[in-house]
Amino acid sequence: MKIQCVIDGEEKVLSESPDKPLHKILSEQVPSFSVNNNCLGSSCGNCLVIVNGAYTLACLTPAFKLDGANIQTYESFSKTRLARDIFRAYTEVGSHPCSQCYASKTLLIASIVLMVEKADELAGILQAGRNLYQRKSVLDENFVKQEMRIHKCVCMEISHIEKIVALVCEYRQRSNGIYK
Amino acid sequence: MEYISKVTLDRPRTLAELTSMLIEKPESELIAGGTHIMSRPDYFPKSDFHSYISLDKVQELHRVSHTDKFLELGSMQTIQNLLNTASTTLSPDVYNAISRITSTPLKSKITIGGSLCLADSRTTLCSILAAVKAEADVRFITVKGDKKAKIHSRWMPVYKLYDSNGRYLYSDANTVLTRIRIPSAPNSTFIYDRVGSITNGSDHFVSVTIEFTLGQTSIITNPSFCLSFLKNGFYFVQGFDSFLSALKFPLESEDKKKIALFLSKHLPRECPAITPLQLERALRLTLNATEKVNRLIMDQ
Repeated sequence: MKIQCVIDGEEKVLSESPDKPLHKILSEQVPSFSVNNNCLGSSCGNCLVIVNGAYTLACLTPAFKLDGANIQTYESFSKTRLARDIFRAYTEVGSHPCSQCYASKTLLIASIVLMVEKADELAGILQAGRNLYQRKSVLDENFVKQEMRIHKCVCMEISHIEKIVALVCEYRQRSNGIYK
Repeated sequence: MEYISKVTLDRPRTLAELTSMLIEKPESELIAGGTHIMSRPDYFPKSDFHSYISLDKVQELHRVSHTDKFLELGSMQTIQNLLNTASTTLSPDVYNAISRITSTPLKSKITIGGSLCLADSRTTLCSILAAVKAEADVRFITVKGDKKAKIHSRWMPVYKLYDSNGRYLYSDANTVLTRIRIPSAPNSTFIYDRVGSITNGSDHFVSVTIEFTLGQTSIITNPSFCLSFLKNGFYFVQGFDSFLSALKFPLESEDKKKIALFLSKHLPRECPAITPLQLERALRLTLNATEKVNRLIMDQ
C-alpha cells in the first residue's frame, strides 16, 4: 500500500506491506535509527518514537496506520529545547542512559516531563520551585517507576530519573513554558 | 525496499460493513489496537497469505456515552481514553488500578475490546472490569445456507466471556464485542493487587480484585471477587462471593484460615492449569486483600 507521511520533517511516499511495523520502516528510512529493537512488544522500549505528537512504540505500530502521520524520531527530537533541557539535567544529576538506550530513554523522560506538566496544569498548581515529591497530590508516588516499566534497560536508577524529571520541569517553568 | 505483500487489509467504516466483511471473509483476523497481534514472533514478514480486518475506522466502536447509572464505551476506545473519560464515573480506587496497568505509551494503544477478547490471556483489565460488574455487548452473526445473515447481540457480564482456564469463549470469527458498560458505583470499595508482570512473559502472574459495599453492621454486601492467572486461569466464582458476604468483619484469624482453606480446595479444581506458585501467590494476595478490608473497617 502507498503511505504518505512525514518522517523527521521530510515528506515521504512509501510503498509498504500494510502490516509492516514502523520500526522496520524507520530502520530503512532513517540511517541513525537504532535497529537494536526487535523485541516484538515485550517492552525493550528501544523503539520509542513520536507519532502525531503521541509517544509510541514503533514495533507496535503497523504501516497502515501511518498514512498522513507525522513521525518524529530521536534524530529530530534531539534538536529541540526539551531535549537540551534533559541533557542539561543529566549533567546536573550526574547520571545518563547507556549508549544502547540513550535515544529511547531520553524520549521516555520527555514524555514523563510533558505528563507531569499536564497534570500540574490540570491541578492548577503551576508554581515555580515545586519539586516532584510535592506534586504527590497530582501524581501517584510510583508514577515515574510505572512509566519507566515500558523500558527494560535498567542503566539508570529511578530516583535519578525522578530528579531529572523534576529538574527539567523546573527549567521549563523558569522559562515560563515558552519552549513547549 | 518493495515487498510483494502477502497481506490483505480491510478497514470497514461501519458495523454493517464489518458484518458483511466477516461473512465474506470468515478466515480474516480482527485487529483492534494491534498490540497483541504485533507482539507475536511470526507477525512480520508472513510466510503465507493472511487477511486482516482493522476495526480502527468503525465509528460505532469509538462511541462514548454517560448516564447517571453507567458509562458506555465502544470497544475500540483505548485504556487511556477510558481513564480520560471515566475520571469522575469510576471510584478513585478503580481509576488508580486501571492507571497502574501499564505505562502511558502502551495504555494509549491497547484497546478495551482487544484486551478483553484475547483468546488465551486474561489481563488485568479483564479482572478489574469483571470485579466492577461491567457488561459487554457481544454481537453474533449467523449465516445459514444462502439465507441472509442473522445478527443478534447480547449484553453479558464480563466474567461470563471466559471459561475457568481463562479462555475467551467467543473467539470465532462470527462474534464481535462492540461495547462495554461500566456501572457507576461511587460508594463501593475496590481492592486490587498483583504479583508478576504481563509484558515480561511471567508464567506466574496473579492478580486479585475485590469490590464490595461496606454495610453499617460491618458486613460487606454485594461483593465480587476475581483472580486472574494470565494464561493459566480466570477465577470468578459466585460461591466465594456469598462465602465472603457471610463473614463478619474485621476478620479473626479463624476466618482467614477458612478463606485459605476454601481457596486451596477450590482453586486447583476450578483452574487446573495454575502452577503451585500461582496458587500460593493467590492465597497470599487474597489474605492481604482481606487484611486491607479489615483495616478499612477498623478505620471507619
